[in-house]
Amino acid sequence: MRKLNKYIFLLLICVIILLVGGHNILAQSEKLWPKGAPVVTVGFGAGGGTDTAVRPILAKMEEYLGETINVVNMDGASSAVAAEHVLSLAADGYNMFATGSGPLSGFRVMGTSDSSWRDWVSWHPFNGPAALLVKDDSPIKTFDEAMNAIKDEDLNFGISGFGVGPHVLVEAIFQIAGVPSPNYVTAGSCRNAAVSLYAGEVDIAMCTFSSAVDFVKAGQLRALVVTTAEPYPVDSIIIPSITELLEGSENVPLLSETWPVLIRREAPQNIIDKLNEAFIWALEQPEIKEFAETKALNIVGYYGEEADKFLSFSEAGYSWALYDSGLAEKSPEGFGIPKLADWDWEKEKNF
Amino acid sequence: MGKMDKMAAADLIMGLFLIVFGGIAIRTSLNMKVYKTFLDAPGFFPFILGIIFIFLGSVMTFSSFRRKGFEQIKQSIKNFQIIYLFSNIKFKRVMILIALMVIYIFIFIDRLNFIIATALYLFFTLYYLKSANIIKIIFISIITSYLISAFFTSFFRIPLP
Amino acid sequence: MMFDSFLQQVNLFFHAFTAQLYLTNILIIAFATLMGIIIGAIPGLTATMALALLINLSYGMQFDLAISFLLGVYVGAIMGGCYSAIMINIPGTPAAAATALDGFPLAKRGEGGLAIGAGVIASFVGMLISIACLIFITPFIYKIALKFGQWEYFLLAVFGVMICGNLSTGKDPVKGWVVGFLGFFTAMIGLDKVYAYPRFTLGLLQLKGGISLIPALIGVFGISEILIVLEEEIPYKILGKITKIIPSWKTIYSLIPTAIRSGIIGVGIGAVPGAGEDVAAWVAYDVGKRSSKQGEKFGTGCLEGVAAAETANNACIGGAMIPLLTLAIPGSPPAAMFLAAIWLHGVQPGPMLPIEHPGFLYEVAISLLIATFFMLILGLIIAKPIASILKIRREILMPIVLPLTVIGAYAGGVRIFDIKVTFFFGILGYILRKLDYPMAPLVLGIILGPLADISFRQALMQSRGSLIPLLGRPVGIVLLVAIAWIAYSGFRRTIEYTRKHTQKDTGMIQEG
Repeated sequence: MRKLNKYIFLLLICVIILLVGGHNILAQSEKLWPKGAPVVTVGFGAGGGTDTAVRPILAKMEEYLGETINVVNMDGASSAVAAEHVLSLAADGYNMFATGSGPLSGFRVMGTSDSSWRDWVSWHPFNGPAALLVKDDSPIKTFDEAMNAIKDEDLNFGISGFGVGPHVLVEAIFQIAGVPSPNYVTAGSCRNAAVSLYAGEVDIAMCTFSSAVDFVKAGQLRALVVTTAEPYPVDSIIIPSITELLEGSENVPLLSETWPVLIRREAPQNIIDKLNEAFIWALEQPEIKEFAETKALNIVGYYGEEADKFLSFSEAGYSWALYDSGLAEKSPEGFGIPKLADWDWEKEKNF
Repeated sequence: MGKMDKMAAADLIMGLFLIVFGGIAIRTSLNMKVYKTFLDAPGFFPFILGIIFIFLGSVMTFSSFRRKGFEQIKQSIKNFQIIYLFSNIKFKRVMILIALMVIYIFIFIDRLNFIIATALYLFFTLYYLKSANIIKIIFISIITSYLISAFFTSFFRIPLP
Repeated sequence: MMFDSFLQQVNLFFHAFTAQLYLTNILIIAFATLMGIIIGAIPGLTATMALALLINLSYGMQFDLAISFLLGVYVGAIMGGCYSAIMINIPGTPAAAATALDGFPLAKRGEGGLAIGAGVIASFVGMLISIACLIFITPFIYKIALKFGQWEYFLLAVFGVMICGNLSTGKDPVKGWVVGFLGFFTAMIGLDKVYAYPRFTLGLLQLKGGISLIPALIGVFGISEILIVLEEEIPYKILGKITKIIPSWKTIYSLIPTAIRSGIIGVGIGAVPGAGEDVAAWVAYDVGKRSSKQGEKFGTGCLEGVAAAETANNACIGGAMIPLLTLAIPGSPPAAMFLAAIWLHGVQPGPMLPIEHPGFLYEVAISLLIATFFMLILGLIIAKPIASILKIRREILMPIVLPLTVIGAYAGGVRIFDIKVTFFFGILGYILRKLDYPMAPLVLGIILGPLADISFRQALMQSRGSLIPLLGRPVGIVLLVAIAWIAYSGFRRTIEYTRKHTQKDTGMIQEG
C-alpha cells in the first residue's frame, strides 16, 4: 500500500511536468523567430540596476511582437563576459545583449573586451541622470558651497564605484569647475551610497538620481544639482540643472548612463526593423512612462543613428575619464578615441 | 596504522602547503596595482588573507609535528603505501565515477543534446554501479533525463547547456 | 495623536488582511509555496536562483499576485532545503547546511521523518516570530540596521566564517577556519569590485567573471557527496520506514525555548543587510549548542539542533524584509531578488513607502503569513512522499543528482564554464572532506568574501587608514570581542586536541 502511494506521487509529478512542458512544443507558427525564443543576455546580475531597467521595456516589446523573449543574467567583468559570449554566438538575430552605456564604453580601455558600440545596433529606452546629494541637516546648501567645501575641507565623498556613471559625471564636473578629486568612498551601489549618506557615514555623495529620489522626496536628503539639461522637478522641489549652475557644462548631461538592449550589427535586417517598431511602440505605453516616473529616469528613446551617436560620445567621455583617473589599462588614444572636446560625429560615424 | 596517524601526515602536508600558498598570495597581492594607497588597493585583502594562511598553516604544521606527522610520512614512503592506494577498490571506484563525470561534463554536454547526454551518462553510471537490471536502467535513464529537461525549459524558461 | 496613528495602522492592517484574502491569491500562494518547497528540496536549486529565474514569470502577473507568488516561493524554498539536507546530506540551499549536521545522522538512524517534521514545525515557528517582528518592531529595528557601517559589515563577515568554522569541525577548529578563509580567497578571484582590477585570474577571461557562488556551492555539497556515498561498494541505506513525521507534543514542547531563541536571532541577523539565512542558521546553531542542556549531543543527531537551525533560517525572511522595506536594501540574497521584482512593478521601497503605498508592509506580512500556514500544512503532507523518494537506493538516486547539479550550475549564469567550476569544486570538496575538512565554511566564505573585502577597504578609505574610528562604534566592539573569543576558545581546542593525540601516539608507538 505504501509503495503504491509512492508511485502514484511520482506519476503525478510526471503528469504535471508533461502538461506544463507540452504546450510549448505545440505552439509553432509564423514568427519573427521561428526557431525558438530569442535570448537577451543581461551582463549584470538579476535584480541589479541594468536588469531592472531592461526588463520592463523587453516585456512591452514582447507584447507588441506577440512572442516570448527570454532574459538571462550573466554577471561578470562589468558585463564583458556576457558581451564576449553573445559575440561568440551566431549573428542570426536570436541573441541579444544588455548592459549599461558606461561599461560598454569602457570595455576596450579596461582591457576586458575588444567589443565597442561599432559591433552593435542598440536601443536605449531611458537614461539616468545623477545628482549631487547632501543630508538634510548638512551645512552645505548649494552647489557652489559644495564645490568650495570639497576644495577646502577634507570631505568623504560617496560614490557607487569607480568608472561608472556618477563617478565619470562628477569627475567631468570637477574638471570644469577646477576642483581637485576628493577622498572617494565607494559603496558598491548607488542605493548603498545614498543610505550611507543618510546614516552619516559620508559627507556628500553623487548617485544616480533614481536610487535616491525617495530620500529627496521624504526630505531626508537634499539634491544640490542634477545632471539633466533642464531643471528637474520632484514634487514641489525644483532641482537645478548642472548647465545653469556651471559654465561650460553643456555636454555633461550627455554622459548620463543609459541601459541599452543590443544586437549584433550583422543580424538580419528584418529582425532589426521589427524591433525598432516594437521599441517605438513600447515607449508610448503608460506602464513604461509610469515606471520611468517612479524611478526618476528620463525616457530618451535613442535608436538607429541617434543611438550610435550617443554611444560614440559616451565612449569618448568614459574612456578618457577612466584613463585620466588611472583606472584604465590602455590609453584611449591607441583606439583612436577622441577627447570630448575634439569629438565630432561627422568624423566618427564612418567607422 | 590508525586513522589518526594518516590525518597527522595529511595535516602536515596541508600546513606546509598553506604556508607556501600564503606566501604566493602575499607576493601576488603586493604586485597588484596600487591606485591611491595600499589600504584600498585590490591587493590589500588578499595580502591579509595571505598572512592568515601562513599563520594557520604554521599552527597546523606545528600541531601535526607534535602528533608525529613527519614520521608518518617517512613511514608511508618507506612502506610504499602510495602503491596500496592505487590498488584500493574504493579508489578505483571513485576514479571510474569521476571519469564518467568528466566524459559527461567535458565531452557529452558540449557536443550532444542535453537529454541524450544525460541519458547516456545515467545509463553508463547506473550500469557500472549495477543499480538495477538493464531494462530498468534504460527506463530510468531515459525518463529522468527527459523529465529534468522538460521541467527546466518549460517552467523556468532557461536554455539548457 | 499617537493613538490616532495607531488606529490608522490597525485599520491598514485589516484592510490589507481583507484585501489579500481572496481565492486566487490564496491559491497562488499555495502553489508558490509548494513550488518553493520542491525547488528547495532538489539538490542544486537554491532559493536565490529560484527567485532570480521566476522574476521573469512574475513580471507578467498582476502586482499583488506577483508579490504573493514570490514570497510563497521564498518561504517554501528556505524550508524545503531541509528535506535534502536531512535525507541525503546535500543541503538544498546554503541556509540548510547547519540543518544537515543533525538532520542527516537522524535520517541514517531511521528517524528522518521525525527530523523533517521537527524542521517544518521549527520553520513555522520561525516564520511566525519573524512576521510578528516585521509588523510590530520594523520602525525600531531599521534604526539599528543604520548603525551598521562598513566596519560592522566587515566584522560580521569574519564573525560568520569563524563561527561556522568552529562549529562544523568536531575536533580541530583550525581546519574549519582554513577552509573558511579559502572561501574568502575564492571570492577574491575575478575583477575587484572597487577598481575593476583583475585578481588571480591567470589571464583567463572566464575567471575575470569570478567564481560564482552557486556552482561552487553545488560542487562542494552535491558532487562531493555523490562521490563519498558511491565510493562504498555497498552505500549506506536509510533504515526503517518513514512512519512518524509529527513529533510528540512533549518533544515539540521541549523544543520551544530553542525555537524562540533561534527565531529572535534569525530576525536580528536577517535585519542586517549582507548577512542572510545561512549566517543566521549557524549563529543560532551555535547559541543553541551553548545554551542547551544537551549541548554535547549537537552534531550527533538531535532534534534540538535541527530546530535551532531551521527556525533561524526561516525567521531570517521576515528580518530581511525590514531593511528591504524601510531602506530598499535587501537583508539577504534571495531578498535582493524580491526587491528587484517589486521595483519592476514600480513600487519603490524606502522612506516614501509608508506615504506612497501605506498598506504595503501589511500586505507583505499577510502574504508571508498565508504562505507560512501553507508551508506548515503542505510541508507536513508531502514530507512522507518526499522522504520515501529520497530514501530510494543511493546507487540510483545519487547518479540522478549529477544532471540536476549541472543544470543548477548552468541556470544562474548560462555559462558552460560554471559547470566546469562545479566539477572542479566537487573534486576539491571530495578530497578535503576525505581529510576531515568541513565544507560549510568554504561556502560561507565565498558568500561573505566580497562583503569582507569591500567593507574592510571602504572602512579604511573612510578613515584614511586609521583603526581608531572603530573604537567609537559599540556594535563593532561587540563583534570584535566575539571574534576574539571564538578564536581564543577555538585555538584552545586545537591545543587540547594536539596534546591528547601526542600522548596517544607516543603510547601506540611504545606499544608497537
